[in-house]
Amino acid sequence: MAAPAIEPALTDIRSPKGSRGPAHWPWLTLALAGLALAWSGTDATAAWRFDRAAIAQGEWWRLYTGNLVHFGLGHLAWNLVVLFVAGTWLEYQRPGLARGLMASAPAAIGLALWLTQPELAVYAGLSGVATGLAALLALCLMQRPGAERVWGGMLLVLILAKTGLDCVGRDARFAHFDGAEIKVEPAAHLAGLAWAALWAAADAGWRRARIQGESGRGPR
Amino acid sequence: MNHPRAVVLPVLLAASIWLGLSGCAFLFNSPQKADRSSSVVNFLYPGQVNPLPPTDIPVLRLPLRVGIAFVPSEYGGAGGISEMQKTALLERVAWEFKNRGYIQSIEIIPSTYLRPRGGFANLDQVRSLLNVDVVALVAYDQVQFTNMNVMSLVYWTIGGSYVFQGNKNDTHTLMEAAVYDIESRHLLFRAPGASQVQGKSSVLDLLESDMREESAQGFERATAELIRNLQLQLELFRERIKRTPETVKIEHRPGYTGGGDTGAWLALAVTAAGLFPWLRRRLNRR
Repeated sequence: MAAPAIEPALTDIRSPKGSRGPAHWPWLTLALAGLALAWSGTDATAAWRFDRAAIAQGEWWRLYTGNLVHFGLGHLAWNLVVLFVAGTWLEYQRPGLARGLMASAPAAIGLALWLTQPELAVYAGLSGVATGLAALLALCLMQRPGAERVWGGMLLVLILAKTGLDCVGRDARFAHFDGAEIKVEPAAHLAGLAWAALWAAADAGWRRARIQGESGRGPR
Repeated sequence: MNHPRAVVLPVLLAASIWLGLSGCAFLFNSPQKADRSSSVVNFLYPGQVNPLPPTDIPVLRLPLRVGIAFVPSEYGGAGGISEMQKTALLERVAWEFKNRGYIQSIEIIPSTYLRPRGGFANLDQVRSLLNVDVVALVAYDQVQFTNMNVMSLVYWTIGGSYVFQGNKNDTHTLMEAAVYDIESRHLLFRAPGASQVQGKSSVLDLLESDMREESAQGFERATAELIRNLQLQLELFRERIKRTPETVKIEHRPGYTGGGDTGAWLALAVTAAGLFPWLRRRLNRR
């Protein structure tokens, strides 16, 4: 019986000493985390948050930046933990995939909120991006052999359960906002999940095509 | 010898003039006060000694539409505080409600919309007319003592009684903002403000202009304290509805504020999943 395939990306970019070069450093994760930290709980939140009225008047960049600001440090804290851990891990292991997701997810989530949640006036939070990264981490772990596959599966189930609870509960009971007036927006988490699934599917398709191309050329 | 009547009459006349000039207060030492007031209790529960508390849990649909109004005076009319003063004060109170995520709009309710002892029936009309969910009722009581006395005055606020200790020429002011959910008749929170302005003038030279100045000063100081307490109460209310969701039910209406929060347990799970491969490798190396 053949052993489960190990991601080629985990083995083929290592330097001779076994460590990885600057291309694998989590610089985008650190940049996003730093930006979110600097913009948390300041006037920047009002200036950069998703604001439907302002976006309608032409401030379209709020679709993107709304994902990077928070209503307070309590709101930021857990989002930052997920971003840092999942982002660092993924950027180290799969830099292209991780950076592609991190750079594009805020725009995709902002656009999804704009189109699907017409009653939402104001939004802020990194959780859509963080949920997407966590889902991508789970999918990457699931491609690995042994216990890591189980961990990845459990993590994916947990993410789906949490997003499902957000959709059903529709209240702020589990959230860490400063007040109850802010509703947890499950659409952002769903959009993050869907965007991660698209990236994972595109990555799998690209890798499959590459493997097929290499096998089609045959041994040199 | 003069006729006794010829002596008595000038004496009586002189005494009358003297008494008139010096004021009866000197002779009888009777306490005098100028009282201007309005009361939330009398407005909301006219004629009820022990009003029953509402039993339903209030349902707040966020963001809230808030109305702010002065409780009309029992005696009608301006009741000692000018319309300009009232508007300025209501604008200061309204400012405290602004720029809060859970408040959609603030409406200053014209004093003509509320009638003395109008009760919740009157507030229901205002709710329909101005499309507000919650109302902040501002009431006041100001007493100006114009003589030395030991008199005290009890003012019934929505939160209990408040006793003014009367002193010479003092101006006592008590203000109160009581915030009600109109539909459920629930008092959401209240904020008081009180002040005491000590009079400068003696009984004899107390002028009406001094009293007016001290009255305005009293309202100013009481309002400043009311605003401070209101800020505190607004924050406490936010905390309360988050920490004790069984006391107030929260719903969201179009135009709400949303936020994304991954939550603690997902963060811990991601951390564990991220650390697991690294830990495993470390253990395998040993």
